[in-house]
Amino acid sequence: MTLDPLTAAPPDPAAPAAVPAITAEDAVKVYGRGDTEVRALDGVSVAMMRGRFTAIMGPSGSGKSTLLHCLAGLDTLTSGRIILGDVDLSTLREKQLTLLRREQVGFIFQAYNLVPTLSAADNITLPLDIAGKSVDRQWFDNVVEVLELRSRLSHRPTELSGGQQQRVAAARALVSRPAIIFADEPSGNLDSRAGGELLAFLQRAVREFGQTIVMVTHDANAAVFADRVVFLGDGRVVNDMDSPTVERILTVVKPGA
Amino acid sequence: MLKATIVGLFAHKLRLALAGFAVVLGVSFVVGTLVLGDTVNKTFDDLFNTATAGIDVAVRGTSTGSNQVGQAVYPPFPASTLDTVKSVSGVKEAFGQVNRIGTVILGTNGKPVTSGGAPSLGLLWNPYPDLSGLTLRSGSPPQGKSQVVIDAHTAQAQGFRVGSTVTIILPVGQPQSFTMSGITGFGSQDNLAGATIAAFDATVGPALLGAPDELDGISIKADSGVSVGQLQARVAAVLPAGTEAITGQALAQEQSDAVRTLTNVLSTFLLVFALISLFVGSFIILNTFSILVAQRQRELALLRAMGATRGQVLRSVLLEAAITGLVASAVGVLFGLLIAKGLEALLGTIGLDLGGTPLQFGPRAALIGLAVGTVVTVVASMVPARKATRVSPVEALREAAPSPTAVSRTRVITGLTVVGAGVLLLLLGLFVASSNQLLLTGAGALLTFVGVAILAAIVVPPVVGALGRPVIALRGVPGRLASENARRNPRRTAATASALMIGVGLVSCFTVVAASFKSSVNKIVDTTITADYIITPVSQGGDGFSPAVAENLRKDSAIATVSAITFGNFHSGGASSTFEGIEPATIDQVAISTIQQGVPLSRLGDGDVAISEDAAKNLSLRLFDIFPMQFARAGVHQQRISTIYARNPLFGDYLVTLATARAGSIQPLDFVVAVKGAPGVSQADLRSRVEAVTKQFPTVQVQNNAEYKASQAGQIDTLLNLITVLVVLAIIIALLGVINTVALSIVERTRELGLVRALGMTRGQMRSMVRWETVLITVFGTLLGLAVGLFFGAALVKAFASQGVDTLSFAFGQQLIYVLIAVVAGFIAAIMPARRASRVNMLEAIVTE
Repeated sequence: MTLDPLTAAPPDPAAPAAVPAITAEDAVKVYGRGDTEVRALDGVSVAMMRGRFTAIMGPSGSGKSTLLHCLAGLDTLTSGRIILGDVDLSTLREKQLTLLRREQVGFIFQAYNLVPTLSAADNITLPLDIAGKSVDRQWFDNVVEVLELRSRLSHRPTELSGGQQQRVAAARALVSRPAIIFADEPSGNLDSRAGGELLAFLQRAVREFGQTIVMVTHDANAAVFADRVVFLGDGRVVNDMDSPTVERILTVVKPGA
Repeated sequence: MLKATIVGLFAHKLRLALAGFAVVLGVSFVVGTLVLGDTVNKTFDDLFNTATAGIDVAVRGTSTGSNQVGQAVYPPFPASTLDTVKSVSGVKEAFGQVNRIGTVILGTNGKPVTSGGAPSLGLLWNPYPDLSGLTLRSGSPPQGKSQVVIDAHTAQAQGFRVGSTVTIILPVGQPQSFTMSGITGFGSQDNLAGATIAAFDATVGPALLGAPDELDGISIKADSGVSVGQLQARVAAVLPAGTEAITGQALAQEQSDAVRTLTNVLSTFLLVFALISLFVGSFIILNTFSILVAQRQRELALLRAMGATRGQVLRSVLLEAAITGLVASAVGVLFGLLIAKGLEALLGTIGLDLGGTPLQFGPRAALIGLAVGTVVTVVASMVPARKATRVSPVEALREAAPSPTAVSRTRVITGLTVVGAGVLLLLLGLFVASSNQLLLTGAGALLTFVGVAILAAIVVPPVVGALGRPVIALRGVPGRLASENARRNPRRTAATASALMIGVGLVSCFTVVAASFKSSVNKIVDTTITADYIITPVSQGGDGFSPAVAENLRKDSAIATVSAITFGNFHSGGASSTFEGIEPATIDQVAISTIQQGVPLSRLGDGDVAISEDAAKNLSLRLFDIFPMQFARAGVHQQRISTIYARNPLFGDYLVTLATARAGSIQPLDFVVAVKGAPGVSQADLRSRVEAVTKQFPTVQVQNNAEYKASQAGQIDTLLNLITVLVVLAIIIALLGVINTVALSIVERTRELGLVRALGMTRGQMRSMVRWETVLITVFGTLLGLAVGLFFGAALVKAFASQGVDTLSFAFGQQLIYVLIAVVAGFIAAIMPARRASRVNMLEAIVTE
């Protein structure tokens, strides 16, 4: 894939790689009580750096989705802290969490990403519209161009392919320039070609626009698009890897963490 | 398969509950009406059986026709007939009775004792207990000119005791004070089904009641050993012309039949509204089952894939409907008893007191309730059931949300055909048909509603889109989503809104009719009444008032003109019509008439009749033709047509002189007295002088034109309010349907709701979204209702044109208020679904397994 010369926005040079965008400190999440108690997160401490693409991997039940939900303010911790920028999420009330998600967080889910009654364009601007903010037209055009959605903007989600739907979701996440984008198995429902394209776009967003992205995946082929992979097992961080390759990931995953 | 149905039923019990509740309400209304009708009939059967239990033979005047409400009129006969009857061998006891309406008892507050529309009866105290329905509860029978016996209900309500002084306005002559010598019941009841009773000493009573030398009936007890048949024949043989003898049994039957006719009118009236509620309920059923079938598409497909036939799927859905319908109907039957209790109380307020008769709840009412409710539910679920059979097994494997179906051509054609047929029937019923008008009009209205409901799905996208625009401007994204959601499934929105359309349509229609009546009345009053003041009865029960009112007014020289008007019914050539009796000398001073042919009204003679141009045209009558009129009293009057006047609703179609009217009527009652002051007398002065006279007669009111118009408008509004109250149940059912639809849609959209929550919609915004979606549906339904209602209203008004309703008024202000009410109703209906939407679990909604 060649880089599009039209994408003028350079990576943010002011963002030093070592500044954490979001930090989990001794995050614990317990579901149920007594005999049925499940410790989904059992003391996770991890920092995701600004302007980096971080993948969270782990087998089913490792707590990776729970971690993502708690980082994103969709769920709350039983104990510990999540610091987004300089805000401690655990101190926020429901309404403040909603406003924080709206203003600082972007989402790409595995499926059901789009509101079926709205066109692609309206889905892309939905978070800004909800917040009552104006859309930066130039930036919007830029994102749409990069994601090759120009000709699809007036279509409803049902008229789009799975790959196009996920690219619309990506555009939606990017267009509000959130502090951080959370992606939950964004390529999970796509074939390998469409999945690869989407992940490459996310990678470009990080490299060229300085976007911070945290992605949950169980697929090593997806995780290699990230700059760093954090491995979870039984609710704990079991491994942490920079510049991952499929082979290196498999050596961690295979033995069964 | 049966097991799958039952399991499914329990799984959806919550979703079915609201739809079932719509059936419960409709059925309970039906059952309540039936039970009430049976109870009323039982009350009257018992009443008349008591009253006539000891009467073997009764004598009365031969009927001269019927009155305005279609009841037979039996004219009085000479009092001497009693002696003739007494002389017949085999007569043990015979009592001559006089009973007259307009015998009004004044309460302790000086106001007339009335209970709604029930009459005020004055009659003679019958000393033979065998021959009387009245039973003395305390005190003694009335003796002489100054004593009276009053019914127990009135006595109790007013706190009268034996020995109390009671003022009574007599049907003729001046009001008088009496000493209450006793309290009577009517059989075991406290009064005669709401009517007040004043019973006088038989020797002086006839004169007090304005019937000194006549009787209204004679009741006879036979000697032992004489059969009823024998006695009837012997009495009949000696009776003068114009009288007849019937058995006591026949009398009881006739009387209860006469009342039954009236109660049946009432029952039918209520039943119509009950059926409207069920009709609305059927929309809710149809919609709920459609949604359930859509949501269960995969489950049904799975059943099909496992080998279930289409027939089995169809039966499974219908069985689910039948069970739902049966259970809901059973609950409805029980609720019906409560409704009957409520209606009974309502009847009490309009003067029909059912006393102690227990509610007559028989198997008939229960079975009808069960059958109607179940059938309506099953029939309404036919459409979704058939849709369920079209689910192909492959759909079980497909990952697809139920997608809204496009509007088909067939729908357009079917809808237009049904609306066309409905409108045609409606117009036929209103303007062409000479029989079955009500049935045709009703069927036409029904079909129109159904047709519009079919077509509504087509207009949902553009209309709701347009309605949504201000909502979007007001509420941004939540508004936008609300608008899109209300439009996403046009059929569902249309069916939900259509249920509301029916109730709103009826209210809107009657609002147009009422407004048109009001403006027509105003126009008539403004253009034809020139009197300074008009005196009319306070109660609209139909009783007139004593001619003494006019008599007393004439004594005041400050009142230059006193013109009395009376009404009545007459028969001519088999047809029954109403006439007015006027005073020719003064009528032109109080009302404007346009004479087309013949002499002015001032020269109308006692042998003349003036008729309207309409009557002349319809009956092909010409000036100077002889027109035979059979009034309530025996004897046909051959009246000469002296005048033909332009149509004037104030005068009706036939005018005779007051003297002629009095001669033909059983009681000389006035219904209107119009007065004009002498020159130089101020309006205020005139009023105080008129009121000085009328304050003796609290049964009448004095009004100038403006007040008269206002009171007429008030009566029309009362009727409109009554209809609105009866339609309210249908509207409540429709709103339940709105709640149900929105709630079910929210269940369907859990994931989408979770997504927008994750993207930053606050709970408040979620609630706002659901609220406005609901409001869009209710407003859309209301607009449909207004469209149909305004059309129906205009058609009805045109149909009433011949009765003087010549001004069409749409009352747009009032209609606009209905739209605002729809907005509020939408907000209320949205409370539960909105709360549910705002509490959607984001994680459950967005996590894919």
